[in-house]
Amino acid sequence: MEMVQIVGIGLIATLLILIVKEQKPVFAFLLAVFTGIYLFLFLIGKIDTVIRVLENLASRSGVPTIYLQTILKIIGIAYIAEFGAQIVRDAGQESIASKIEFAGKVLILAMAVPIISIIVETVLNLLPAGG
Amino acid sequence: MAWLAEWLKQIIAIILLAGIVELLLPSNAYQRYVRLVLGLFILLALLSPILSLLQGEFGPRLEASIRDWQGSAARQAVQTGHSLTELQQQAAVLNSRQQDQAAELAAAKLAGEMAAEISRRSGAPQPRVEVLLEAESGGYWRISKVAVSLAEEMEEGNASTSPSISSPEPIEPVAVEVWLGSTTDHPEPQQATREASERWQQVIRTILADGWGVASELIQVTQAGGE
Repeated sequence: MEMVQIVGIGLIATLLILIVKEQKPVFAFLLAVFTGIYLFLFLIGKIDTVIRVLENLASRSGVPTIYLQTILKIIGIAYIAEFGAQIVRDAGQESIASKIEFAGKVLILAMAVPIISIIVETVLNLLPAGG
Repeated sequence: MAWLAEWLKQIIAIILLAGIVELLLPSNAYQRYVRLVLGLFILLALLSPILSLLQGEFGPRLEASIRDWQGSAARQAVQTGHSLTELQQQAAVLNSRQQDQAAELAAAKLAGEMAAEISRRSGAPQPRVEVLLEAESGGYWRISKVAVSLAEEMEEGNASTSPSISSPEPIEPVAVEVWLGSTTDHPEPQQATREASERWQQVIRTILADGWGVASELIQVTQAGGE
């Protein structure tokens, strides 16, 4: 039933945007943004259940919480960056959209820095000292 | 073998997590980056027995390093946002808090010394002394009030002229009365406080004025009990 609602909202928004676009492209853009935000908020509840399942799985199997936190942060960054980039792309600003995506990628990689540093440190400690 | 089961469980859970997370991703643009991070996690989980064998617990270290990393970013944001006046205000607040704590400590110590001196010179059993300090300009503190409360059972004669030598008194026979009836007709004595007798007031005021130079109007002497 929710799927029907989402498709219905999408179709109506598309139709309205097609009508408005000829006269006022700015309003068409605003309409697209609001539709996107609405759908995003509509689905956040569903993502919440998935995340709860993940948390449950992690806590039951003894995975350190810091792993899960990092993973969830990565998912969040990916979603927000993708959402923003698509909105900007809809407005026709391809270059800004790719910058947003780039920022998302950099932030995701920054999450990995502590892990990489720990692994590198460990491997260096594994090697025999001196030589 | 318990550690083996735990280890396998952890690895399987992380791989499952990685699969779900890849499904959750909004687009393929981030797949490579997310795979890198997830791969590092799996690597850590695989290496964890060796790591803990060689270096002790690495979990807390990893946590601390991630927090450091995030904290340093937050600190940079904070440092640019703070001006000199805000820092000075914080310093002033900290300074006044420290002074308050020092004053509290000094008041408690002073009260203890006063109580000891009173009980030594007048023979009053366990007087309770409370000292209130008041801040003055220039970082000095002044005694603003001394409240002395004496125990209930004290004979007036104890505050005699030779208080330092307390002669041992013969023990009087103790009368024990047993009440078998209901206790409702024997109301509890009220624990009220009243002004201590004139003599005690005089003695304590003299002691405090001699020892600490406390003005006599700042001293309040009460005695527990009294119907």
